[in-house]
Amino acid sequence: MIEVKNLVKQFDGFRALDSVDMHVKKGAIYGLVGPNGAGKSTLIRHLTGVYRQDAGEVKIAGETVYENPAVKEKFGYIPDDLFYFVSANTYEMKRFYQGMYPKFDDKLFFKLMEFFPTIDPKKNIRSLSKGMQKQVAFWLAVCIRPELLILDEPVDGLDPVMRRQVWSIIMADVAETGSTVLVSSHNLRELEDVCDHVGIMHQGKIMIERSLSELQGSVCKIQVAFQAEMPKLPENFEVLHMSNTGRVYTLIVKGNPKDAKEQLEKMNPMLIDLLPLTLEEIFIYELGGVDYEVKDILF
Amino acid sequence: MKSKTSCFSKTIFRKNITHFWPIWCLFLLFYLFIMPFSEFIGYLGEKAGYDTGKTLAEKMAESILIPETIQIVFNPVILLIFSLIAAGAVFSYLYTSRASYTMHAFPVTRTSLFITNYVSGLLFLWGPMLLGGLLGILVAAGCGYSYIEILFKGVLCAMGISLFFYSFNVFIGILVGQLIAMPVFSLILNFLFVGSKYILTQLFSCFAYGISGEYQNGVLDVLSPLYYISSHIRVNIQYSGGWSKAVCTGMTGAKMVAGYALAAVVFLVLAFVLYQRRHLETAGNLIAFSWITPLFRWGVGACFASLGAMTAGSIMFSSNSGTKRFVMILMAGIVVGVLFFFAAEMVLQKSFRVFAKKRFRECGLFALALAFVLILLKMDVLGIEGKVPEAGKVKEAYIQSGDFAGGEDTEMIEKIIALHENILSHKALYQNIESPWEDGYGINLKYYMKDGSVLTRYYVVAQDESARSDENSPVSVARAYMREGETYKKNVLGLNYKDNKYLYGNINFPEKVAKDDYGNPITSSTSREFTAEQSEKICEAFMKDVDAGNFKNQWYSGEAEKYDKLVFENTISFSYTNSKGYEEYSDRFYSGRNYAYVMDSGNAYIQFNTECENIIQALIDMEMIKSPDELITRWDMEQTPLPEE
Repeated sequence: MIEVKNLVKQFDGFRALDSVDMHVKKGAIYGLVGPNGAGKSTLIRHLTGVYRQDAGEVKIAGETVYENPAVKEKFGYIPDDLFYFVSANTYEMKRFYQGMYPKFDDKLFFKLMEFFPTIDPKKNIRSLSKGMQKQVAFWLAVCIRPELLILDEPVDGLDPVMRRQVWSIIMADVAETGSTVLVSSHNLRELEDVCDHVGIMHQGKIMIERSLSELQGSVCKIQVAFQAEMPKLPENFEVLHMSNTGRVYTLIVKGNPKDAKEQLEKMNPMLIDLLPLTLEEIFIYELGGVDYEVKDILF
Repeated sequence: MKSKTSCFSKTIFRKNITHFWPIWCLFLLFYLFIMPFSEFIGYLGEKAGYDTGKTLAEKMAESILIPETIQIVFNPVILLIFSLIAAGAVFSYLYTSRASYTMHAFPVTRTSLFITNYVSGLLFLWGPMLLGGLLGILVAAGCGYSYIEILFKGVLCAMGISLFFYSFNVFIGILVGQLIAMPVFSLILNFLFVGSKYILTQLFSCFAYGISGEYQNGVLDVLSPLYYISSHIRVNIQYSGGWSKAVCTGMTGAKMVAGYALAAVVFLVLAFVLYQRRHLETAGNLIAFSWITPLFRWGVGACFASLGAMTAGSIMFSSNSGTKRFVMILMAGIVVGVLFFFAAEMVLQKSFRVFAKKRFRECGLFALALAFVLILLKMDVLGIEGKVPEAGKVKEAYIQSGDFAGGEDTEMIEKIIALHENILSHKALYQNIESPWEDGYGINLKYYMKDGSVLTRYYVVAQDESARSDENSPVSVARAYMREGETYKKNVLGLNYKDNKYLYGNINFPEKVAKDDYGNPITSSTSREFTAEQSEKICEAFMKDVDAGNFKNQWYSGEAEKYDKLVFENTISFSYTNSKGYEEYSDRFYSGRNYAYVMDSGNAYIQFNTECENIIQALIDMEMIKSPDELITRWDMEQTPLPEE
């Protein structure tokens, strides 16, 4: 659905995107994660045809996005910083979206009204709270019946109930229409629940791009304890992080979890336990390898 | 492959109309008030007015309400403000990143966005104007007003001017990244050319002989649209019977408006091309295109450098040393220029930390360029100081030094050019007159050129004994031109004096009546009145004295006592009417023949002297005075003792 090749963007000499390659399959829910300033929003602004790239290609459904309304009609975009026209209410915005998107589903709009009970559609949107404004954005974006939803920090500012509500609407839409979702967020816990693919961005590049299961299968957490101190590990045993409490060591190991466990078992540990790794931990430990680890602070 | 797309978005257009309704409603109210409403109020006023013996239809036919109000419709300042509001509203989304990103993420091309917004804004301006104009024509026709064609032409001109200002402001709006920058840059660019020209002229006058510093209109003033349009579009109204009767003789400036409308197309195309290339991430920056930022730094630096240099030149005005004065001007220019170069960079960067090596190098280059330009100005490489126009290119030429001379006559033009050359040939001598105000004699020369430009010079020439005794010296030649019989009569009695019909007049007799707190005399005067016939006779006597050369010594040559003993304090004044109109030399000198309001009555004042035997005899004959002793010179006045306490 999305294909980005060698995308480059510079701002006043600063290379915000440095030969980015990205691939999102049709029907996938793709989580774009990365530290602050990694270039996620810049990449999304290229995907939505807002920015013109310095080099490279950005295609959605096989077509260039920039200055191509036919492609833009296919996706809904919810930016991190929302904009509504001065004094416009939800009905007015709906009319605007109806004019802009030929597939806008009027029935769905009224059907979804019950899911957003706190929003008065006749009230000026700019006078609503930030969370309510976000709800309006979701409401409208879903109603355009998009083939692709591009969401930049989508649930930021929403209360827990509304977060759950919004995600359930998106999931229902995906299930019903088979649409693709690209979501950029810092809330990795939430992404873990909804995404099937993940791309990790750092310093203007996509470092890793895999399915979540592949990603979780390529890094693991092992707790292990030996009679004496930790024996010398084999050279091909890639430890991303190691800590210990007494004789119990916790290792974050890159590679197949089963293989890693088998190798450690050969060293006759007193106990060995393979633990699941959260997306947040994968994110932290992967980026730790490229000088973006959590530093111990001493005062 | 890109899909075929529309160049106009109905949805965005509808959004513009519905969201910006206060703007076009305000414009509509304005035009409805200015045209149909004021016409109807005028009609009711005439209907309820005093009985002047005329029918209502006659009163309406004579009314010049339409020509007067249409000047508000095409008032360039109002149209500039309206076009700024319209352009600012429809392109406001470009100035905040979230609005800009959202609008460009919608399924619409930049072409479509630009065209739709441009058309929306233009409709905000033209729609109310057309509606107001149409209703205005209907109401005017219904009420029986004259000059309906002026209303039609005026609305068309207003549309042309607003098209230009709107396209110009859209062009500026695309170049800048902040909403507030649009009106600021618009105002600056509207006056940049004339402002720079004025400052440079002022600066040049600090070290060039004869450059007065007075602003001279030129063909290139078209580059300052607001200034040029304001001074070239008008409805011509001729008043008579004082201000009681008025006739509209048409409109001036329609061709100019057509020219600006064509320029609007150029700005529209440029704005469109720039919009396609604009990077949206520049929203919020002062300037949206990086290639303009050096122009901005250098432009701001150069403008303020000129201003600084000009101020230094004015402060050092009394300095006799040309070199010392120039060095001060140069230093002030460079210091102020460098300061504002960095100030401009601070505005661009939105930071005070702009002192990078790269910027210092650029600033050094700027300072060198500035010094180079100032030195070139000082050396007069363009030959401005020595410029004398060719007679064939001059439409009107005038000389002014207290009195006036000149006109459209070819011989007179050649004479004034010859005087100009004469003055320049004495430049080395006159440029160093120690005290120009005391020892010099100021001569203003003004040429109205056939191409519409104006050339003005102000020279201080010597008027010492040797200059006065030399009939070929500039001071003697200038005096001779202004004291020539016909010219002097026109100076005193008006340009069309032969058609003057005198109504009444008087002569005043001043006398000291008291002392003020500081012991200075307080004067009062009595006057004796002339009938129309007596006024005619006095004027005839005045003309005889002029022809006899009795006024040739009546000019101040630096010798106060001689002048005060010659000229009477008594002044003769007349009121007259003139079928060809009341026109003075000063009107021609300051405006050329290019002015709109002509009155049919005026006043004349005769200051005469002890050699004016014909005037004195006429006063005796009509028993205004018994003997010349009743007249008093300034010298005699000063010698008269003050009244006792």
